[in-house]
Amino acid sequence: MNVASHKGEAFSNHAANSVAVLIVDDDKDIRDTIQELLEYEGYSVATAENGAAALDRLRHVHPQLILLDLAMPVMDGISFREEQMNSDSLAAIPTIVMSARPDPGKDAGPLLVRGCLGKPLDLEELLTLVAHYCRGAAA
Amino acid sequence: MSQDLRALFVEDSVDDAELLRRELVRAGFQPETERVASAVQFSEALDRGKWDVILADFSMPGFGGAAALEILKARGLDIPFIIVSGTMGEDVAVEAMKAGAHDYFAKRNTARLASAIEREVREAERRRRRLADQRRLEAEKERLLEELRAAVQMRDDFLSIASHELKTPLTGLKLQVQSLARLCAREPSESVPTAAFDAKVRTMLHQLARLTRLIHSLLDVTRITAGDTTLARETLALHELLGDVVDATNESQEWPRAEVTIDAEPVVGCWDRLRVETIIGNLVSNAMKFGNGRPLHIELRKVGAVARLAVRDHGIGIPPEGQARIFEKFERVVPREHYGGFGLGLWIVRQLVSAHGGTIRVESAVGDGSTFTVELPIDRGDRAQ
Repeated sequence: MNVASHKGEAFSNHAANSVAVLIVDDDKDIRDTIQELLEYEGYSVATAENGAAALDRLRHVHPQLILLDLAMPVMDGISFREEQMNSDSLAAIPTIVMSARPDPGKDAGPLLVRGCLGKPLDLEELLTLVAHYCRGAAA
Repeated sequence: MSQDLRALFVEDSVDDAELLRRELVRAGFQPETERVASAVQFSEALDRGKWDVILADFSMPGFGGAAALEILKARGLDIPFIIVSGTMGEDVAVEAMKAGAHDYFAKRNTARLASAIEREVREAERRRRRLADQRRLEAEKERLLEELRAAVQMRDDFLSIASHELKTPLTGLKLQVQSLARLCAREPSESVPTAAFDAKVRTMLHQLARLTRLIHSLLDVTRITAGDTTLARETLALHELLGDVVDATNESQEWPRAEVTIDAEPVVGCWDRLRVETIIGNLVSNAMKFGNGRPLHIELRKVGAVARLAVRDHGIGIPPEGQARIFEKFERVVPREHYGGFGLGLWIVRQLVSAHGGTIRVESAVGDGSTFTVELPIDRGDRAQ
């Protein structure tokens, strides 16, 4: 059980390996914004700028939810998802796709993810999903 | 009147053929003739040469006008075909015309033959010209249609890229605004730390700047495509402008921050400020985007009557086959998912540089980075326009 003293505070006192959400997006602005908003709501957050970086991060952190962009350099969301599904320890982590494509649901369909958010993201929608998968993670 | 005429006779009688030849000479032609009496000979004669007219007996034993017409039709040849027959009843004449003959004469009544030949040769020439015109028009139409299809496809592709690109900063902006609204709804405003507001507003301004830049480049494209590159020239200190634009580009934080060294001579000239800012901004942001975060080196020199600006990065570089392509509209050498953007930056730069009467070139090697060199005439380059 994570403990946050109050909203907006950094979660430096958390165990290094337990975070609520891993954000995987190549756009720094989007990563930073979502991180800031989720942290403000009391969730601990880790970030990665592409699929390969995310796999690397997942060797050290165990998120309750992965927010995954599709179009990214080095390793895109689809390849990441394949790698994730092939790994016993990672396959069970709920994953939600965020995409700016015209029909993100269609792109995400074969990826067997828990949900799909179209960009521009809606804050309420995002927070509802995160709250659902990260029960007890927020303050 | 003395007109060259290549006439092919389909005639089994040598004498009749000779009579016909004399008839043509008498009518004023300089005929070059050949006589055939079988399908094989007829076909060979067609293979050999270009005939102005075919004069054929209709009722020959074995091979005659009807069979010759069949062969001609099968080959798709349009050569005036005139029946000159010994026995020419109404019924035979009708049959011949139906089969595709252009005219018919009885062997002893050839007074109008010469004028009929002239007329038919002229007609055939007209038909050929019309057909050629038609084919040319068809090909032209097909080409235009193909161009149009390609243009529409390009526009559709571009619209999809553009909407994707615009959505990214919009996402950040929307989230921040919504979070601000949430903040306001939840707590009395005096208890919200100013710093939290300040940070959010700063991020929003940054996203707005990014959106503005994207929209500006869309407008640049629209104007340039519409042929509007009228320059608002003013006296500019290029070295000062260069520093300002590099700072602004680096502060936009859209790309990995790069260490930029500027080595600039003072160069003053007469250019369009906004356009020159776009030229420098696009080159510098490109260098940051593809520069792998390694240092950039920018050099400005006055070389005779020309300002020479070189922007050098040490990034991924451009393969030789891509170096011409990068200046084209919507072209990019790298996959779009890996590097965002409209694919218009260098195209815009090239158009604006040439509107100033200048030139741009690139030297690059894969893995070793690229140097873009722009040369702008210092005096008014109006003569080029």
